[in-house]
Amino acid sequence: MKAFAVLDVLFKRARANSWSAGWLTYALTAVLVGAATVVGLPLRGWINPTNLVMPYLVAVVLVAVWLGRYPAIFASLLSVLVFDLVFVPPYHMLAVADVEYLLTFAGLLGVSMVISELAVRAREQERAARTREAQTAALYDLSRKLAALGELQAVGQAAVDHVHTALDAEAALFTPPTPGSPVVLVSQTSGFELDAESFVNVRRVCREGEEVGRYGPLPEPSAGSYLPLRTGNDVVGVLAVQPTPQLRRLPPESRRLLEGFASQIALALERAQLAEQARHARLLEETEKLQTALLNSISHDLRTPLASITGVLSSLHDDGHLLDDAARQELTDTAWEEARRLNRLVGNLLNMTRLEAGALKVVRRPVDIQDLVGAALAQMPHRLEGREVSVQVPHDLGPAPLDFVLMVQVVVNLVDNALKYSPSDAPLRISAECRGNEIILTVADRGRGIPPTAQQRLFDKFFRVNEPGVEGTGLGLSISKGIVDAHHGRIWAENRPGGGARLHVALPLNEKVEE
Amino acid sequence: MAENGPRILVVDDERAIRRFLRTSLGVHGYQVFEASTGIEAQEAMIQHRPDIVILDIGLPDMEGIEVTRQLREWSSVPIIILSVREQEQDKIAALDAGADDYLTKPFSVGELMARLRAAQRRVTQPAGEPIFRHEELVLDVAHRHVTVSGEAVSLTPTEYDLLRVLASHAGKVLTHRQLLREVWGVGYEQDVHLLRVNISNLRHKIEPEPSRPVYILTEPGVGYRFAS
Repeated sequence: MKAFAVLDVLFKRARANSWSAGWLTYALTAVLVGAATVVGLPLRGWINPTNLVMPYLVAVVLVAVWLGRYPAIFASLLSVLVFDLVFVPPYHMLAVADVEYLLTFAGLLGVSMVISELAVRAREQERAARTREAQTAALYDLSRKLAALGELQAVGQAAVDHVHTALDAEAALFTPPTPGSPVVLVSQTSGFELDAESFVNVRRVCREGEEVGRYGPLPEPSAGSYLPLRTGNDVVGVLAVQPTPQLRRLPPESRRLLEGFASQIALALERAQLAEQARHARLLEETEKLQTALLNSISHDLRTPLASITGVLSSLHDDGHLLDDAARQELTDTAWEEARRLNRLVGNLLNMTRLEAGALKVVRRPVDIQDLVGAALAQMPHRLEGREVSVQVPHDLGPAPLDFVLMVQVVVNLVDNALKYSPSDAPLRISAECRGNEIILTVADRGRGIPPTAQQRLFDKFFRVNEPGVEGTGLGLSISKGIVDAHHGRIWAENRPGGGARLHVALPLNEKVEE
Repeated sequence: MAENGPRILVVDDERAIRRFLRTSLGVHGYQVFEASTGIEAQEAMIQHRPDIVILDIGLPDMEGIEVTRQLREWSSVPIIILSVREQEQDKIAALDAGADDYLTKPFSVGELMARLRAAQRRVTQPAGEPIFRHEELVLDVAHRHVTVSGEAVSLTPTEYDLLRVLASHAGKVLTHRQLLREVWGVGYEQDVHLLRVNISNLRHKIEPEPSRPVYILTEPGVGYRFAS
């Protein structure tokens, strides 16, 4: 059994080099025929030489199965020759004593030829079936892998990796990232040798739509093959394949498999590119929608106070004679408040624009937090009427390096927000404390708190929590966030235990002060 | 505020608008009631039984068009829509749903008073009045007869129907859709070009200066209105 295994290995090696030629094949054939001779030799003279033909037939079948067609023909001819020399009297001579042996020769030759042909065919069919099965499996495997991927980069990597394992060759994939743009390298296996020539070849394939390389014209055959990846008439990319140094060149049977891979990869690439386009279009559409919404929101917010002011003025102008003092006072109060509201809105919009343009300059000076809170509250005396506001700032809290004017705006916005979203008699609490390298400023109210759906978007531009009777533009908190960001600080909101919301601002203490 | 003046319900979520309307309408003898949401509007409708409703189209709880539709299920009270220019589509939808007129913010009290008067007039006008007059134009419905400055005008049947529909809603905005359905019938609501062509022909026959009409007025993007 062991000898048989050794023999099998030898056969395989003989086949692997080149199964139609090579001296090893023919040497092995000679050995097998010799073995058949050795089997028959002890029986020479005892039995009729015609019966000693059998071992040769066995040898021919073995050669045909293991080594192929030409060695089998060689084995048939060699068997007839050796049989004549060894077993047919007179021994060791080509001459034949009995003419009837010529019939034996013819029989041996004929039968061995037919057997070998049949055995070879059976073997070839089996090999073809195996190859087909392997190729189908490899193609199926690739299409399954590619179907699961949607992104261009992932598709490219999966494709080259698959070519690498299935064909034992280095591969690289080139494609335009968007239709119409120049071709770039998407992915490659680690062993792929990329040089200037590669890109020349890739461009040529893209231009001509024809393969360049082993199966087409290429100056240096070992440089590999460049296949166009086609969908319909378009070349969506190029698959470059380089045989590994051990392999030297790609075996011909891998040709069809490579073409199969190419069409699968082309489809996957096209799909990835279309998905990319769709994603891009959707993004554009959403951006446009958002811009329209913003524009509508701004124009609505600007027009609403204008509507009241215009209405009041028209009433004063046209119906002046009808109005008594109280009505006149009521109307002017309304217009006055709306004008102030309009002014606040315009100020907010300008601040937002400055923040977004990066034109906001933070001038840090040592700021006393108590002073900061006081200045902010002093800006809104009307709004605070009838409210209980408690301010808790520790006396030992040192000055913080802040832009006084900007931070007053932040505190005003936070307090304004708390006032709007809590009942008119609910108390307000403003506190500050030092925590590590930061100063934490907190404004807490006893309103309804922050709805879970709003938590994420609270600091977004133009976002407002919809509550009846609450007016605003949705800019205050986002401006506050912009200012706090410019201070390298943090701002966040949470619901307060016992009801209401708490907005915190954390500002770093170790920032440099402007001289 | 007059105790027995016409009753007006103002539905707007903007406090300032309600406040100035209350004062401005009050001095003109109207009794003003207020609502800031669609729900409040419906409650106020039942409680106060207003003669006219002024309705802002963007309410926090529901669209003005929805409020209009719900009111129209049981009430024929005149509804005047308030909107800002960006709500063009909503405005048309509200008119189609049964609103009578609209005003674009900002507006003057004078404009609002004119619309209110027109709306009241339509309510008090006896239905099926046989003869419409406006300035030099006389439309005799009983005899299908139209004269301008005493001279008879010959109109095609479509033009006559169009004029009759517009004149019978004098002062009220009729949307393209409403006119097409009234005059041409169901299924023609999208054929705005039909309407444009016939309005143009009609104007050439009845208007002294068709490019500056005095009878059939254009409401840009919305429809037409017969002057009142």
